[in-house]
Amino acid sequence: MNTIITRSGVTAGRQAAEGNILPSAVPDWKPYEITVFRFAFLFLVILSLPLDGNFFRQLFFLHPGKFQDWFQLANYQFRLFPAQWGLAAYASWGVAFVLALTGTIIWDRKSRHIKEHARLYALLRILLRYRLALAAITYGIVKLFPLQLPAPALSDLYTPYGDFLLWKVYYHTNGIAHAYYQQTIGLLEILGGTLLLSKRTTTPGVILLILLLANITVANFAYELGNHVYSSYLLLIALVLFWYDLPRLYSLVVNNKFTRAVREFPLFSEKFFRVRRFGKPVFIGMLFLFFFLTYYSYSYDRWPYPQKEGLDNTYGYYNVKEFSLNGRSYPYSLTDTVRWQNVVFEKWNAASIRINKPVPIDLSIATVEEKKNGFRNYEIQGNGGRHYFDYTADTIAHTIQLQNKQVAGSPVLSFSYNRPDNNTIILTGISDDSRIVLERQDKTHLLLKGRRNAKIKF
Amino acid sequence: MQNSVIRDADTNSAPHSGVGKWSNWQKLLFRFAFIFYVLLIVPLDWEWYKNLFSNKIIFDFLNSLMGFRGTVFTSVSSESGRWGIGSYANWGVVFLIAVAGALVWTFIARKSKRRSYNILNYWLGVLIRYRIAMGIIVFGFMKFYPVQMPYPGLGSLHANFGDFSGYKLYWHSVGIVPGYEVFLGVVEILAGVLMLFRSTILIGAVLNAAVLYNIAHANHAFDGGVHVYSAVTVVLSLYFILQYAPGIWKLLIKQQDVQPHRYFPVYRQKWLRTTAVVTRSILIFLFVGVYGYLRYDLHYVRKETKEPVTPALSGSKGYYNVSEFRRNGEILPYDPTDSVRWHDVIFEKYSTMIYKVNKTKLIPLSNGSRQENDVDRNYELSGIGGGSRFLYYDADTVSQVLTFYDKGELNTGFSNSRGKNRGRDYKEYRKPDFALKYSRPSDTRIILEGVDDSKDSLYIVLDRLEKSYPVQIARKD
Repeated sequence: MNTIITRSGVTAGRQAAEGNILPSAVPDWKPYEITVFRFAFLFLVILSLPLDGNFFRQLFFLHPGKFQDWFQLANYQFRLFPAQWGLAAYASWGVAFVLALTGTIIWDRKSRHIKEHARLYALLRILLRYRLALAAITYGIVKLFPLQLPAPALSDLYTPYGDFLLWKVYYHTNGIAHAYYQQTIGLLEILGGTLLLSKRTTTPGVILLILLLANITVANFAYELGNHVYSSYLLLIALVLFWYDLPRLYSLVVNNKFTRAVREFPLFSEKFFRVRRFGKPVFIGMLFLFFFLTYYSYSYDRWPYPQKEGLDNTYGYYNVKEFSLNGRSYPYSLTDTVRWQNVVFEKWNAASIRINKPVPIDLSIATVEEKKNGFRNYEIQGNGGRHYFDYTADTIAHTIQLQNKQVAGSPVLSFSYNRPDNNTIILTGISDDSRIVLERQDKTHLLLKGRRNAKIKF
Repeated sequence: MQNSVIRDADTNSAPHSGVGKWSNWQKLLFRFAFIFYVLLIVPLDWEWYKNLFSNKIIFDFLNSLMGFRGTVFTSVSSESGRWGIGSYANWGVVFLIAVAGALVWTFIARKSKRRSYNILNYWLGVLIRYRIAMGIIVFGFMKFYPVQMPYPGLGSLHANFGDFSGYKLYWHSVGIVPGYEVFLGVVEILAGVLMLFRSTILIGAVLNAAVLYNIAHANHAFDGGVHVYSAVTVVLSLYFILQYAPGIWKLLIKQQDVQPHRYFPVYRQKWLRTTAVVTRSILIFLFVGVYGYLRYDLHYVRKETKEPVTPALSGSKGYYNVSEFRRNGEILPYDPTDSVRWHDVIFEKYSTMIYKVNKTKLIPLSNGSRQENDVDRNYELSGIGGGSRFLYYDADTVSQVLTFYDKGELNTGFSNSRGKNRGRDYKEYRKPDFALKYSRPSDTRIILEGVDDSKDSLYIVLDRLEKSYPVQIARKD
């Protein structure tokens, strides 16, 4: 496609004048270029269009008030296999590759009409532009309202650094960023996506997104974030979109030569433009809907942390001052596998306990998703340092039931609680004579103090 | 169409000649840009040159040269002046000087018949390009090796997330993925090298602007402290991006043919051409080849790093439970609220021992830069709270004594000059805080005995706990 630079504009103009409406962007396609294009077209269409059942299942069960459901639809992926890690996760690409190759072989026996391919290329670019815009803008919005990389919970502040999975370190680190860092990255993604919505501003938008996506893709590999296939797919289509103007940019910027602009010629009928006149506002309208849904959720919900409020005035970090179980008292110990070392009560109805016994780590990938059963597992994902419990409390009978979040079906721990003073919680076993005394510690975190005050004692 | 054919011919006759006649506005803008950028880049402080040439080793010389910064005309001493918007006050002053200077220059030059500043603009560009390249290559090599952000030690892996200062979490988040750090280093070196070739100026400028914008904003986000130095590269890169932007705008947005008018000197004499090529080759070799080798030598041969390198007491590395703790003969049981009795002990792979008590102390909030001697290397403890005391130790394996030097803020405050300490034995300027005899009845047990710096006699039994770290686990199907 380098030909466009050397090709004389005069000829193209004359052709146009003579009614031969060849677009100068695709002047003379060599036979091999047509074959390569056909393969690329099929491969990218297979990866981009929702062709398997997952998408329609999600669409069918869509909860229209939840931004998470819309996000899942917008960021639909072509995925046939459950493998999530390493190169195995690209297996679906392999299938798409074989399908595209087969399709190309069959297609290659058919006509090689240039105008038909010019039109297909234009259609492919439209598909990819909107597909990439959708991903960039929806991801940008969940960063703008910092939901994708939320601030760590109190339990996380009491989790040793080495006890997180690598990806959780990445999430938490971004989650504590000040100066609207995450929000600005979100804005840049929205900007890049928005530039894709107009044909002429596509290339600047694509350059911005390539810079962002290259880093995101490498970070996905480095930190095992779990979205390396999706981010590399987005990077791939960004590069394909960039390919269009690349020869012109190369000529102008690298070679410093006189460079002809692309000349647009009508490829589509009036019917196409009617679809566009209708489709584009709908697309943008949906994005606004997503924006407001996300904003609404951000203002009223605590997602991805549980929404249900915790017990009044329990939020904090507690030392386990006394711990006795079935009449046996356990002294403080770092090594005992039964004794609780410390407890965190979150603002919501969860408590996390440090015990010296292996934590069954939730290895799942963080997604912008609301599970159908409403279970929110972000706080336990990738945390291997604390045991997490959901609790329900009866504030009249003063009883509390703790249910382990990390092991489904584990027995419920029932206690009656009493609070002799503001900072003490005494748990007494209901069915046994266990007694646990929790004492809230007044602690400030270096994390919250930062480094601006030169003399900090901790 | 006619028009473009004529321009086509124009191209062939005068390549790289620049725009022949500049408008008055363009000239004014250039005068401003010239003063602004020269002041941002060129050190006008005589001390800087004196210091540059007083460097004793070639690495230090090259390192100071490549890290040169413009003159500080003003600084704001408030919190904002160090960490926030106020820290850019110097740019404001430079901006005002440049505006005033441009007006004076224009007044003086009002009778001048000069048609353009093509040549001066080119050389200003050269200055900016080399300034960007040198600065970013320095940081690129630090990440390439990767020593700018070392892998977190055991002390960090056992510190609670909330006990770190934000900047330390940011650095650790890079240090914990060395492959990613190397990748970033390669990108930065590449971004620097691209600035040195005419044809790749814009690619380099865009890459530099993107990388350094991210770094500058992250420095604000985590109080990393080098936001101004990072942001200045963005401003320098903008000089090129803004010059290329109109052509790209015209080509892509307005979809019109573009004839670039960028001035590049074309040397007619062969010796000039040769000189230019040789000069550039030497500079690239110096900044990439020589500097890269010297950094390698510094970190891998001379082992001057942020992370200590003296090996630990052999086989001691690990996390230890304090099974028994006697102070002046009295057994103290473990209590996480105790301020005297040790809670746990860590032996790093290098000669650092860390114990934890529930006691506040002054936290070093420095960057923890590389130092000559391990005893002064405080990267492992800077920005980390939580009651841990970090001790450098000398192990005398014959008489079985560990001699401890506290690495904390109060103790390292007087010895933080790496230039001053280069080649010096730390025993010349540091006194040990205390010493304990050790014995190792088994592979996993260490017994420490002796008198500490509070004059308490201690008897401590340490038992290593088997520990694996989720942060080192790979998620697999």
